[in-house]
Amino acid sequence: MDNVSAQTVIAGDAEITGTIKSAGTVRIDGKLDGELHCEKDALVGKSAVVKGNLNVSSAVVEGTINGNIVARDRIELKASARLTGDLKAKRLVVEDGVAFVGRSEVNASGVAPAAPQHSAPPTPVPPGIDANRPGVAFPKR
Amino acid sequence: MPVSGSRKASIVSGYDLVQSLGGRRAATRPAAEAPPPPRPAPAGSVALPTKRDIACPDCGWESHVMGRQSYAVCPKCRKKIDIVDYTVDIDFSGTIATAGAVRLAPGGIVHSGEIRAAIVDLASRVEGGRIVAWHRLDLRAGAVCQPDHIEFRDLRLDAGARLAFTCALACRRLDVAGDLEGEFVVSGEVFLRAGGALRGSLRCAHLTVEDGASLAARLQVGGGDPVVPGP
Repeated sequence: MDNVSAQTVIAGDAEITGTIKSAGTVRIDGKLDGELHCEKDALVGKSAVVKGNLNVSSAVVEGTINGNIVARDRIELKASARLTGDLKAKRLVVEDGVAFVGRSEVNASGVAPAAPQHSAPPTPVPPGIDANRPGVAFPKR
Repeated sequence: MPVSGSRKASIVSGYDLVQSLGGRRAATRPAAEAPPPPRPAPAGSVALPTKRDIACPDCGWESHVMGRQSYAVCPKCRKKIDIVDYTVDIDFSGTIATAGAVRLAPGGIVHSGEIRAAIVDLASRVEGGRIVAWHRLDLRAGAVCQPDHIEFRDLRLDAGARLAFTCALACRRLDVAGDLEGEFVVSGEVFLRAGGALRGSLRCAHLTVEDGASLAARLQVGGGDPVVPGP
């Protein structure tokens, strides 16, 4: 998606506070402090900073997002993407170099995952584990 | 013979000389277009023996050997290191300690004992014992991996392979095309291939997810090396 195909463009020098609702595609290069509801695709450019949730059909993220992304189809995180928040989609593509802190719920087959979704805080890694040493584990029987 | 000059030849024209021969020589290939002499074979192509990284199964000291050898001596603990590759396709309960690879072929079952190798290629059933792959553990489709204890640095799951861990696991690299569940701290790269699935928790420095993979996990990717909490 580029500038030509995007119907709504928030330029790099623009800063918007509030909720954006769009029936077409949206490209964000500026700052958005609020939510984005988009019926079609959304592109978050490299210079974009979004503080809020995104609810889109599919999203391509190259910039910074502090919020959750819910996509009905696909989320693509480019190498320059910085995401702090959860994401949920049918399909996910992540390039090497992405910074991501959050939860991911992606199931390409559409079947609910067997493992229950964790709501508790992450279990601390037992002391003494060194990431540079070979893993030691006890497989589940 | 045509010469330039009246009586005494001072300059001989080569062109005229050839023409005077009736064109027979002219039809032949000039000397300038003769095939060049064969070039000498390029020097410098010296075949070096293959270099192989090994680790002592006893002390873990990493070194390398050149060429094809069946054993070496650990430069640290001075113990003999077996470098032979093994294939296990029977019921096995013994001990294998090698700096080479061990392939657990389909049909074989490991009941107990210990297997220590650089690369463990698991395509059979492991129902007990210890598996130590100081370099990489490959898990093939249909393999059953339920040892009492397992160690590895890199893990590669083929499509169709399933592995679940009940406790946190730290390793260097994950390459997942199968189904993996657990809590992982990875110092290097995690590669989730199309068709692969990862569930649980993941902290890593680099993450690559192909389209078509399933990822249902708590993630902490990038931002420096994953921090392992201390005691």
